[in-house]
Amino acid sequence: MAGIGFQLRRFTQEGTLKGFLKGYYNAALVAAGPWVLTVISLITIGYLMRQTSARTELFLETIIYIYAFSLITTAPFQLIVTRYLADQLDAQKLTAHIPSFLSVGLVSGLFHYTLGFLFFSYVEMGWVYTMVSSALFAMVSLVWLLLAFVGAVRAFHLVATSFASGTLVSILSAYYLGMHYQDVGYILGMLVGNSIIVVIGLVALAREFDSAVSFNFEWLHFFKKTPALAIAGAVYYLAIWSSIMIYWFTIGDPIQPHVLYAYEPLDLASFYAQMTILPAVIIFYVHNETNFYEDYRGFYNAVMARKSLNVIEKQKSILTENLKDALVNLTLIQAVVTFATVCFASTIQQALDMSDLERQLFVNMTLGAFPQAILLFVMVIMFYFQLYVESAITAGVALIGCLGVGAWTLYLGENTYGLGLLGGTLLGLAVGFYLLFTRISQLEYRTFSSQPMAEEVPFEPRMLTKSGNFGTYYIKDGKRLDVPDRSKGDKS
Amino acid sequence: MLDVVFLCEGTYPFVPGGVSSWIHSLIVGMPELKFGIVYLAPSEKDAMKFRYEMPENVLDLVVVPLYDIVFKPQSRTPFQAAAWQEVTPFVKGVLRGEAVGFKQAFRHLSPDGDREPTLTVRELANSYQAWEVLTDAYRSYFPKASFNDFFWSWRYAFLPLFKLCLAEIPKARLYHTVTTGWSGLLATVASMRYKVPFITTEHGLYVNERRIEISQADWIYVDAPRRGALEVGLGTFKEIWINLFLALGKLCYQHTDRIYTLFQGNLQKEVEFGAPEEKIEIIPNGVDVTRFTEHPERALPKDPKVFRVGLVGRVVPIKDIKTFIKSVRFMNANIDRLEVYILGPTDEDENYFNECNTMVEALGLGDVITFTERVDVRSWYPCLDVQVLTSISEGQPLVLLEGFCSALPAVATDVGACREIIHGRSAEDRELGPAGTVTWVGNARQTAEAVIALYKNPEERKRRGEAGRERVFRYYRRDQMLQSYRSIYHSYTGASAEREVVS
Repeated sequence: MAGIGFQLRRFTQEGTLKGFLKGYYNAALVAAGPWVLTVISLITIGYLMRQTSARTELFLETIIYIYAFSLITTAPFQLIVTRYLADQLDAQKLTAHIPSFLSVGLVSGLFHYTLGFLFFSYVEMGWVYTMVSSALFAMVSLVWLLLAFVGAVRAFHLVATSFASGTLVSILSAYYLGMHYQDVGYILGMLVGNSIIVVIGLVALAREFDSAVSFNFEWLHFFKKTPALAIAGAVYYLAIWSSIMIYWFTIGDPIQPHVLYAYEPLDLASFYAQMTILPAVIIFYVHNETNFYEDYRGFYNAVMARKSLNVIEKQKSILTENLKDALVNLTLIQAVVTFATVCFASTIQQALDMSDLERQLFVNMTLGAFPQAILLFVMVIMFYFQLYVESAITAGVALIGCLGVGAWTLYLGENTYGLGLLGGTLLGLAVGFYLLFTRISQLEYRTFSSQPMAEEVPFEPRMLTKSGNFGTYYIKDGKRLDVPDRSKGDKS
Repeated sequence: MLDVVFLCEGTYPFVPGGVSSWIHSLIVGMPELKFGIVYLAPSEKDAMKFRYEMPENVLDLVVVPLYDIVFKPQSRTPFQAAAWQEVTPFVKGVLRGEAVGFKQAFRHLSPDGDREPTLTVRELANSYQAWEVLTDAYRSYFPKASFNDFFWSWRYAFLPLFKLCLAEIPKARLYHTVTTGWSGLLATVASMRYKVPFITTEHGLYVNERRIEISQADWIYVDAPRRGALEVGLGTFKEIWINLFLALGKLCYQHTDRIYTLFQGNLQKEVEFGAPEEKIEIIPNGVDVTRFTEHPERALPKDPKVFRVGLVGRVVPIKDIKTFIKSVRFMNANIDRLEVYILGPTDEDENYFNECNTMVEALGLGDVITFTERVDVRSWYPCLDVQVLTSISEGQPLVLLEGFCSALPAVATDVGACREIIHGRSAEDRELGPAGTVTWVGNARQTAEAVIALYKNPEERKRRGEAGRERVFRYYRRDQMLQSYRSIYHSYTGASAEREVVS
């Protein structure tokens, strides 16, 4: 994230309160803005719907399904394209951004629209609902993808504008269209708002990166190169959402016959609970793009600047110690926020007009959001160090934990619902911490041994003789053998 | 089973040259023996074009690419930790230029019968244990050097070494390596794998040649000299590379049964590089004199008014063609009608050839110097008045002996056997008189002065040419050399000269 990282380092290094605040404000816009605005949209539209006595369940559950599944299905695209862009930025190739966004948008748009179409056809709310909901599914996925690109944009106030105006348009058009076309109208309003976000975001990208309108599908190779990265992303979100979905499909009721199962007391409560991790996310974002990035570069610079092993190891110790300190600090901050939220749960209950059960589930989900946030940070750090398999394992453990503990709560009673998230992410976190720090302790080894060699040739069985040793017979038992001339690239 | 397997690196049968011709003549000269060849190529992408017609008694030829890094799928075996303990002394020794502990390391690196090696190449390259060994070595010997460069030097030095331990080597009664270095390592592996002896013949000194090459290499990072150091050394990484070849040389000398070399100077240096003196014997190279004396053709017509100087050799840095070109400038100023011929292939190092061409143009010698490319030298020797050799390293240059067959005197640098060839080895030999002049390496003026002296004194030129002819007939005939090797081979293989010739 060269653009925003550079700006954040500039602001935070100013050493003034103004610079400090500006840094965090900007980080908040990019790191937490979309999520906050989404929740604000949902709450406001829900409130407006109730004012007009409209039926809210279908709209709310459609939106929740769209957001839940789009996060799971977009994460592989988002992480893969981010990995590709990081390589491009490293190589100072800035022309790849727009062609990559257009191509990933196209692939993801088609994929999500088709997936959405297949799913929403079963809701049996008519073809307009199916078309609009599928389009919103595809558009929300585009918004998540856009986030992978805007980090590199220096003029990110434009990005902030896109999200703010998109949200406003969502609310207004949903309200207006909802009055005329009911459920479909509300969803269409959200579609219009999200389209605005994508369009303005694209304008911001176009202003930043010169490039003709073209497509670049090079990022697709990274699915083959780093499949664990794609898996890690999808499984992480699946783990988070599985702790909610488990109630949909067990004790939940269908909004429409056979589809759109929901367990309403938990659904909105979980959205609210996610808001509690925002301060830690913002602080982590700033730390990641400033201090951690500097330490990270410091280590690799020591390697590239032909320093001795002693200096390289010293840089690694600095990086490790600072990382541990940062994770401890983030844990403390999140602990304070979580503790305060739990203490003020009754006040929040009143403000948001929750039932007692909803309040308890909100508390459960807030407790779960605590380790979930730290797990997210650990996984992001893993991505930095290219520990893709480890992050996939971590996410996998979290998924199993979320499902396992979630299933257990079904026996324990409704007051424990939602605690699957806490159990699963704690389990994932334990594994994640272990994997991350054992791998970092061997960082110099991993860095060097993973370097490819220009002369490395993929093994082929023909390289061995019958006895299994390296070599090719040109003459065997006095007979000249026909050996292809490989200097001309003949691979037969 | 084969009688003798030659282990060749970048020579016979795909690259022409003195050593290749020598191997060819041995094989052709002993049709009663069955030969095999293991050829070490830099990469399998290199063109493998036969440069010699393969004799019928070559029954096996295996090509092993040396520098292509391939990780052969091998199954992991238990006892890794113990294996690493036994491999470590060898690896650390190599970095110091020592050959210690190869016997202990061998069973972990090379297959032995049906037993797979304990360690896979991938483990040797990338495992954490390998990392521990390399960082331990780094801390012991080069703690302040650039670790990045150390790591890459380690990879590029050791991966071919580990890979060679897995190379295909046909079974034979005797292995014969014609250099130390990688071929020497392969011969050691062959000898240990099949428990048979190997012999070593050194024409040039591999360690010395690599040392020159590495000193001049610009692809190896040279670290800053130590603060306060008065002498600027080669730098850590050039030292590592030189140590590798030094260690491989010592390994070969330790395990070989006998070492044959061409001349006294080589013998002394081999002892310096760690060869036990009692293993070394001198067998000079020989030429087939009838091929030269009975060749009827001439490349150029006779012209007594023209003075012709020739350099027979490949256009490559080790022949120092640039010094020769510089010397031609001095010759040209003193010799009326000078014609200079550089007789040899130019395609081995095209950059160097282009630089030589530029130099010829810059010095205004375009009308004097001709690059002939590859030619039949037999028709050229009789046309020349003096043969020049400006090499910075040589073994026993056959071209001088070939020239002597045509009574062609030589001006050659004091490298390899040149002094022995020109002035004589034994007292009896020296009595024949000098067959030319010996000059310093890289001294263009001295080379030119020696040629000019011969130009100005035709009588002396003739006398020296005759001395050369007599010397080659007495001491450097191919049949003498062949007879020596025939008895060596037969002593190891138990074959007799009457054995049925391979059909």
